Amino acid sequence: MKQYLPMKVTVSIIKADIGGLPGHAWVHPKILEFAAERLREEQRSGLLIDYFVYNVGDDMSLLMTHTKGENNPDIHGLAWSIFKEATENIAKKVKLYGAGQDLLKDTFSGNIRGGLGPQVAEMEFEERPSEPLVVFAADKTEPGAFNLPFYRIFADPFNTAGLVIDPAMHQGGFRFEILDVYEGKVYLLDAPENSYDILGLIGTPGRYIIRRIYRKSDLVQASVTSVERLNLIAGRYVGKDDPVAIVRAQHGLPAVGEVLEAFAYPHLVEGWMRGGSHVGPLMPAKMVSIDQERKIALGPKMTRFDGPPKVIALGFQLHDGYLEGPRGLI
Amino acid sequence: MMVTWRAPVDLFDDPAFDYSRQLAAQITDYIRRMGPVMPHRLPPEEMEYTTLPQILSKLKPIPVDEYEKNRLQYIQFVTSQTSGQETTGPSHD
Ligand SMILES: [Mg+2]
Repeated sequence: MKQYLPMKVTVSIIKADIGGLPGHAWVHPKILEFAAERLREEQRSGLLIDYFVYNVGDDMSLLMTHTKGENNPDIHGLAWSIFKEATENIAKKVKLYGAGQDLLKDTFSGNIRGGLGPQVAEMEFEERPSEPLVVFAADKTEPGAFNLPFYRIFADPFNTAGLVIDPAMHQGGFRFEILDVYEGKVYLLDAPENSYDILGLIGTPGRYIIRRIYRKSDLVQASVTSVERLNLIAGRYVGKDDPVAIVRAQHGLPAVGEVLEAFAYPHLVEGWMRGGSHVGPLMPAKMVSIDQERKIALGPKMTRFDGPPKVIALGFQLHDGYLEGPRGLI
Repeated sequence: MMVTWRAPVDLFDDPAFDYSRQLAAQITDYIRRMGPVMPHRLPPEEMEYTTLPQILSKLKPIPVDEYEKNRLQYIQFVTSQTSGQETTGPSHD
């Protein structure tokens, strides 16, 4: 029988919009293919354990597993060079709309965070005996769009029966890390004890955003959302972007179905049409196709009024750093 | 013959408004489920003169750069919720 060895693995999602086909509707499928090929090379070279490439609307996500930890220059540099090369070799050649629009700087300086343009969600953890992962990506919205569903997943027993029934969750609940993106400050608050305070903050999703959630009894990290503090440039706060997130499920964390349940209600989110100047319902969307061989999932298009805002969910079983799956979950 | 009519006319009592009533009821049901979250709750500028700012001002945040450097220590030992002692209430000294 195979012995189970706990292993520290890092799951990194780095995403960018490097051009739309047409307008802000979709990612060029060739760009997904290019990215998947580059990641396959790095899997062979040993930098990555596994990977998957997918999009929602005009945003491409690179999902990578490795053992290098968060904020690793090799991993961030790899994503940066893929975005750069795809911009030069494909997006600019066929004149995609807004080619390279998320690559705000010319040079890479070790970390993709802090104003380079692409968004990052990363989590390093010890693999549990079974490790179900749900990855989310949304287009035509902002990171705060996940506030309401994530609150309901981890703090609302009417969404998550496990908060009442499962001793591991019932014991202490969850600790929420909330980032004030204007002031660059972090709030640590516990549910259920401080749920009124949590809601007082996250009810303003353009400013207070749930970034990480921990199980209180042992501080196991359950989720991470791509969000950074905004930069005040010429009197305007900039840096808001279409979000991605990672959620771990089961074994004392919410079940996969409890995680998805919160998305059955299409709440109103900001970020639709013309620089995100409209509000619309967050629609759970299906993928167009999933190619297991090439590790590419082609996501939904943004059409009506460039939307509506859409969210996709892909489910994996992580084992020894390998991504088994995915299954389109909504 | 009696010709005076002293009651008002109920002007929305018309089947042509039935659909509007249904739609409003559906939207009510839909948006109520957003609870205290924008845009059901108004944006912060409009909340300025309510009691919400007073409630949030009691919380103690941590500068993000400091937090990211010592994240494990912070999540183990720190909460932004001020303890019962520090909140306002009757004093017994
Ligand atoms: Mg987008």
